[in-house]
Parts: sequence; structure tokens; C-alpha cells
Amino acid sequence: MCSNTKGALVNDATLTLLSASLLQDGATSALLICGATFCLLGGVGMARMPDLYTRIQAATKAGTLGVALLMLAAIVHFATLDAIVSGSLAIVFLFLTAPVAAHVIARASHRMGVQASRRTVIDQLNDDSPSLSSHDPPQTR
Amino acid sequence: MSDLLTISSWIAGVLMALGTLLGILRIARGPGLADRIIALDLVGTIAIGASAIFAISTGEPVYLLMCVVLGLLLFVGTVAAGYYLLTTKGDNIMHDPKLSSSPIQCAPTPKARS
Repeated sequence: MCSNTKGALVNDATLTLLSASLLQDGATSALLICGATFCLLGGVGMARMPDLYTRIQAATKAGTLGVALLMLAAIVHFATLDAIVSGSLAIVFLFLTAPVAAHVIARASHRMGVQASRRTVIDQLNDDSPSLSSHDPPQTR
Repeated sequence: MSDLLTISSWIAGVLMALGTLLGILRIARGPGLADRIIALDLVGTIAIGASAIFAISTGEPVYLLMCVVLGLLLFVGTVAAGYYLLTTKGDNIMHDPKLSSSPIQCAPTPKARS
């Protein structure tokens, strides 16, 4: 009887451990697949978007979100302080720097005169844009 | 490392490789310097994610530090390229305004919208 209950306890403990490990692995795999899919979508947007500016937003948003999900997968998998700190550092750094880099490239190429697609609805940086000139007078240079 | 994790990291690696191939395609035929810079940025971002996958599949958390360093280098490189683009505007051979208008290759555009 005593050995029976002890065996049941051990079984329970191993079952709990196994299910926790399975949960961790499942969460890690789901995050891995989601992040890799977002990276693939960034590549698809980069190949198929008609315009430099739309390509910039495809690369920045999809790629950054995908890499953040992959970092979350690594954090969930390792679950140590070291991995949590370095993974969160990478996520924060990526989320801070990717929009800045994209903005620098977009601003430089707009000043260079890279044309937008013909299907573009509004370009607020142009002086002869209708919505901008209706709201405030154009700057005299 | 369990079976589930092995399979999912293989699938993730294949998806990332496909994304990298599409980015390299844009680097090869992008009609301007800025397109190439942005495609290179995407490829570097995917490389950061690939090092995270590598960290998971080898079980070494040291590779996560590589992600941080790679992100730093990528940001500095992209901003330097953007500054180069800004200071030499229009006077290099890589920029052709006729090419950079980039007629849509994926779908036929409606000619007259009005």
C-alpha cells in the first residue's frame, strides 16, 4: 500500500514534469514557426511590392516582428536569466533601431527623388500635395 | 532536445532560407541603391533570427549575444548607407530616376483611375 502510493506520487511528479516540458517545447515550436513565417512574409513583400517605400515597410515590420517572435522562442526554450536578459536586450534593441534605419533610408531616397508607385494615393512630403496645400500655405523657399 | 523541437526548427530554418532567397533576389535586381540597402537590411534581420534558431537547436544560449551584436552592426551599417545616400544625392551611377520609378512588375496597373 505504502509503496503503491509512493509509486503513484512519483508517477504524478514525472507526469507533471513531462507535461511541463511538453508545454515548453510546444510553445517554443509555435513561436519558431510563427517567427519564421513572418520572416518569409517579409521576403515575399520585398520581392513583390511595387515600390521602394512599400518595400521598406514590408521589410521593417514583418522582419522585425518575426525576429522578435524567434527571440521569444529562444527565451521560452532556455528560461534562464542569461537567455532572458540577452534575448530581451535583442528584442528591445531591434524594436528601437529598425524604424530609425527605415526612416533614414526613406528620407534619403525621397530627397534623392525616388519616385513612388503610380498607385500612390498621397505623398505628404511633396509640396504640391493637395491635402497639404489645402491645410496650410506652402512654404516659401 | 525533443523531436517536436527538431522538426519545428527544421521547418523554421527552411522558411527563413526561402525569405533570404527572396531578399537576395531583390538585391540582385533592385532598381536602385536604396532598394538594395533595404533588401540587405532584411537579409541581416533574417540572419539575426537564424542565429536565434541556431541557439535553440544547439542548446547554447551564447548565440543570443551574437544576435545583439549582429543587430548593432546592422543598424550602424544601414544608417551609414542611408547617410551616404543622403549626402551623394543623385550624382552616382546607381541612381537612375527612370529605373527607380520602378514600374509594377507583379500586377498590371489600371491605367486611368479617374
